[in-house]
Amino acid sequence: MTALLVSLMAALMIVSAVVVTERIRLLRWLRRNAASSAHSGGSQRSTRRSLPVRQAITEARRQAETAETSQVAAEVAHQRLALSLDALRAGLVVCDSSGTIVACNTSADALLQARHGEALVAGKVKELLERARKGEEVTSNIELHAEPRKSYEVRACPLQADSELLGAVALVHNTTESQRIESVRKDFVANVSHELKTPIGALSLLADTLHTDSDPLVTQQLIHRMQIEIQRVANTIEDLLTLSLLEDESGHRAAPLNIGEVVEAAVDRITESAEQQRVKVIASIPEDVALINGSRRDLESAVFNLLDNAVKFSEPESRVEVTVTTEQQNITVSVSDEGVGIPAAEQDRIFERFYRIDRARSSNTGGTGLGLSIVRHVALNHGGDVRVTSREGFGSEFRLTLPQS
Amino acid sequence: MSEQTRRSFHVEIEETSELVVQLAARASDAVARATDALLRYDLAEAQHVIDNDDQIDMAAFKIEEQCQSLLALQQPMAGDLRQILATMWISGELERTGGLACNICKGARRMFRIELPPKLRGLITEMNDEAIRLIRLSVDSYSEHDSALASALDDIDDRLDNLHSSFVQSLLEASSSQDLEVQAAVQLALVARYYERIGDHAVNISERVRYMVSGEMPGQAELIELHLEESSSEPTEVSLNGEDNSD
Repeated sequence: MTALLVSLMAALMIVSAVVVTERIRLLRWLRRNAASSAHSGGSQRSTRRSLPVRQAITEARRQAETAETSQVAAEVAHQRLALSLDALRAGLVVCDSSGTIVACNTSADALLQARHGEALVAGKVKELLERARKGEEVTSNIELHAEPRKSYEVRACPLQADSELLGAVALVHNTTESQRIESVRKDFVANVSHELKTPIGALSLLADTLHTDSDPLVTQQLIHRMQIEIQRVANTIEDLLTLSLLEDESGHRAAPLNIGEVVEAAVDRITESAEQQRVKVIASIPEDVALINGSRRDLESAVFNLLDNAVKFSEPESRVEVTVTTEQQNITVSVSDEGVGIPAAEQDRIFERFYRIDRARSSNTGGTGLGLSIVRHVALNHGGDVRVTSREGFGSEFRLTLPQS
Repeated sequence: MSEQTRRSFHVEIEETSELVVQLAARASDAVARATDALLRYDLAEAQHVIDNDDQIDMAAFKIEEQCQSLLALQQPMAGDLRQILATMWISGELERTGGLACNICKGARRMFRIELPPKLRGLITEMNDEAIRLIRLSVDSYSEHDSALASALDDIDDRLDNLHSSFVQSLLEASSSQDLEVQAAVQLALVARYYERIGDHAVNISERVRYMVSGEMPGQAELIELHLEESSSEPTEVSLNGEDNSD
């Protein structure tokens, strides 16, 4: 019985031990499994959710940074382009395919806002853009006749990409200065040819006639005419040489001199021809004129040229006044007349070589067409300037300004 | 929608104003070209001005049409209404200015190669410059709605009137001293009158600008006063006739 009880207890103990062991194993397994499950399952979920989000965030950040950098770069590039276009002297206008103006630089903006003459240019720009956005390339020149005279060239062409018209661009050039220079060049060639060829042609004809005509009276007249033409050529050559010398010796042979004495000498030289034309020359020279540094010969030649012109273009019984005044550090010699005057449009051209306002009148007045060029060169060589104010039909005033020594 | 319509309306008014500025530029350029044709004996230039007058007329017509359309479709009020009415009148004045430039060119053709005394040439240049200056000032006053400038234009025009008087005086002197043929003298007197008329048109523009800005027409007050005086004097006359109109 006892043995049975012991064995029963032992069996119970073994069973309980086994049960306990199994429970412990089960618990261990459960714990391990749970831990493993918790570990492995949670990690997978986290990987499935957080990894793409992080990547996306990183990617988005990267893209945002790239976009920001690109935007800044694009803004800088746009600003650089806009500033470059603004720096252009030419006006630039861009329109889209519907004809709406979408961009223009500063020069063009000023033109498009302009009133008066330039409003015509703005109108022409819009007209040409309209034609260009339909695929036509067009150029037009505009002359504005109201003072101040200006000229423009407008060129418009289509903006095309892969046979698609995106709009048009117009370029506006102010051609005033280039046209003026071209006109000066053309006139110079024509004028120099006229001044040199005319007396030579006349001499040739006179010599031919002299060769065939033996009448002493006619011969005498022909010789007299030849002498006049020869004198004309000699004067032209002399003035050309003077101009050439003036260009070479700027600032040379300068010595202190009294401009009053120079003006008096020039007035003495002109007196005879003034009396012949019944023109009264009145000089007003103050006693205490400051000295200037310069060439007496050149300055006397300049003042004489001004007086000579004033007398030549004055009507009989009129007056020519020459005055010397001191203003600040400058001495001004002013020669004014009551003659025919100079048209406003010609006033900035009269100092050009061989330029004549009225060629028909030049044969009556003589002269080489170089006098005022000489005056200007003398003024510039002495650090001064010569200016004209004139009213056509009422007279002119030339002001030769020279710095004091 | 209404705001959109209104915005478009003001854009249209603005566009019409730009057309007026363009028309004024055309008209003053025509005057300058006409003077060149006259003083440089340039028949081609004279023909160019005459041929281009149709364009000026067309531009003025277009402005009038736009104004009529705005009046009919937008029924503007107050300042907008005055601006549209003034613009219509101003386009007419500028069209006449272009016509006068044509007349100068026709005069230039009739006087072809007739040498003009320097004094007359100088005065023609000065009248041209002054006439163009007046057109420009009147357009400035229109564009800037500058009533003060518009009011000053009548006085500024005095200079052109004085130049015209000096021209007529010089013309009489030149004719009497046999420097100028009678036919040329008559043509020149007409040409001078055209410049003077151009100045008058500029003054008319300035009066329309004053109306546009303030709603008052220069001289209107005097006219109303005169009308009132006439109205008030009527019963007196009637009473003298023995009729009593009083209640």
